[in-house]
Amino acid sequence: MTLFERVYAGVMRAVWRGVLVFGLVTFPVRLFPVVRPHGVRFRLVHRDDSGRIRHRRVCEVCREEVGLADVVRAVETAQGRVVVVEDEELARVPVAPQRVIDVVQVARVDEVDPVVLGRAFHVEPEVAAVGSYVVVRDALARAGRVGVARVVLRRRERVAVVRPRGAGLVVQTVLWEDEVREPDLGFLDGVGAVSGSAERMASELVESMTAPWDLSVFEDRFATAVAGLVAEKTSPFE
Amino acid sequence: MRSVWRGAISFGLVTIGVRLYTATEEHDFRFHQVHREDGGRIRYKRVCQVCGEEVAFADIAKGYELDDGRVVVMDNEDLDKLPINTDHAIDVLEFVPAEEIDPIYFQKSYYLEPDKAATRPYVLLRTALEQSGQLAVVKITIRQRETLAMLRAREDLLVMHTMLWPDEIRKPEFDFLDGETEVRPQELKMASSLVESMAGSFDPGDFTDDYTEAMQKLIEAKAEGAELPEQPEAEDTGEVIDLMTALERSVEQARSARGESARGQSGRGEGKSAEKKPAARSRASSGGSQSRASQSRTSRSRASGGLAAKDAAKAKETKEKAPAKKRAKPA
Repeated sequence: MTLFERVYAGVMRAVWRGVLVFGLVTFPVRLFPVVRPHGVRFRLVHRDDSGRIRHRRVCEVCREEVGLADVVRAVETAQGRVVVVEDEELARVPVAPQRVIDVVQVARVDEVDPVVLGRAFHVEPEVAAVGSYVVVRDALARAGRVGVARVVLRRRERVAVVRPRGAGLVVQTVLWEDEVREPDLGFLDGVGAVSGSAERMASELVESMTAPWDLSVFEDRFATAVAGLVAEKTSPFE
Repeated sequence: MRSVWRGAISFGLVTIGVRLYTATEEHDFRFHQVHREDGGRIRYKRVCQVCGEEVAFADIAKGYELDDGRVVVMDNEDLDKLPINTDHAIDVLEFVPAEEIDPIYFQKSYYLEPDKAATRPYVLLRTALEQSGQLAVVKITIRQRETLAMLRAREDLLVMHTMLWPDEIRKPEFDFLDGETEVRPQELKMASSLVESMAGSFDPGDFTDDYTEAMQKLIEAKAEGAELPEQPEAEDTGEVIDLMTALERSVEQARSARGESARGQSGRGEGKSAEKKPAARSRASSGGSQSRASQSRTSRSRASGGLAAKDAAKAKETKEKAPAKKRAKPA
């Protein structure tokens, strides 16, 4: 395997299994992460002896190294009290069903502000569910709409959109309303109207630089440069 | 708000000095790790696997491991020599129609604020983007990484969305895509009715993060030494029905929920807002959600493709939770 192949090799593995619920139509699906980061992956090493850096858990109070079994989750209250939360307690926190993508609403595509979009997943139907999957996909595509669903990913409750994309469906998480900051930028105060001629010129410039959407014409020169550097430094070893 | 980046948009021969502000902030519940015995916070110590010593930050380098286990150590000088754009520029490469953009590429969002002297060209670019319905494709270097991004007019502001590189998007390799799947017209028609009947305006404020709220309650309860409530188990009363029946019943259910909701609102004379968000409202009005709830308890059913009736049943339970916040909102 060449360096590049190794870097780009990525096996699709399902990260979630469950059912998609759309009205009373329910079918089993699997989710696969859409993103496969490119670029060279480094690890941290000790400069003197190239030894790999390990992270050891050390207690701030007793200064001893602590095994995973003796580590618990905790929250510090405003008064500085440490509240320990055990796994069993966490398991009892009422969370929405873990294995359901529950479509609760249907919205227009252009209503979803890109600011709120989060992680995306390819949705694959289980063998028996292809029929339902295709029907839901086509119905959404025809209407130009997306499903708005509740889903639990890694015990975190999330809202997500279910969207037809090519021959498949994609689920993309959405931020909660309070996770989007309101811009508070006063720079617009006292700005007058833009002059008509400037506006026309700007529009013309936009027009002249307009191209169809195709990101593949752009290259991540930095990632390529890092890969080249690694290859260069590697060659004396081989 | 503190800016995270400072530089300039270059757009043809126009340069617009701007600052970036993070537009989003996840409210994930963050726990500390503590030592069970003494409640002491856990800190991570960086230890070298070879010499066993704790290593200071200054002595840590980036390493690339070869197939045979040998490690190439990269020095900062090596990385500094790389040809990256460090001149704090947002280079406008081209413009693309907004509707052509695949949302799968969107990553992080930033608000752009112009420097004092740059307000006019900023407003100009924003206006030009808005009027043309275009987005600007730009390149920007953030934290030593070259990133593709889009500039978009969003209300009074320019917003920048960082994008994935095309080769970072996996292609779905699903076997079912190879075969032809026949869609029966009547099924598609019924599914389209279902889509129509569930249509509403998307408003993130319609949804509440019940888990985070429950977690906060748990912490509060523990802080006072109170007992935790037990979680009731959802019952499984799944009835297996075929896809067409499931679609038909879903449409009926969605329509009747909508009808009840409209009646519930009419008493307050809020016909206009009831029209605005039909689907969300059907769950919002207490009358609607109660009838939904009782319906889902008595005739819980699923399509034949389904395997996990129990989970589907639980899903119905959650729908009852969804309206909590909406109900509190004034109509």
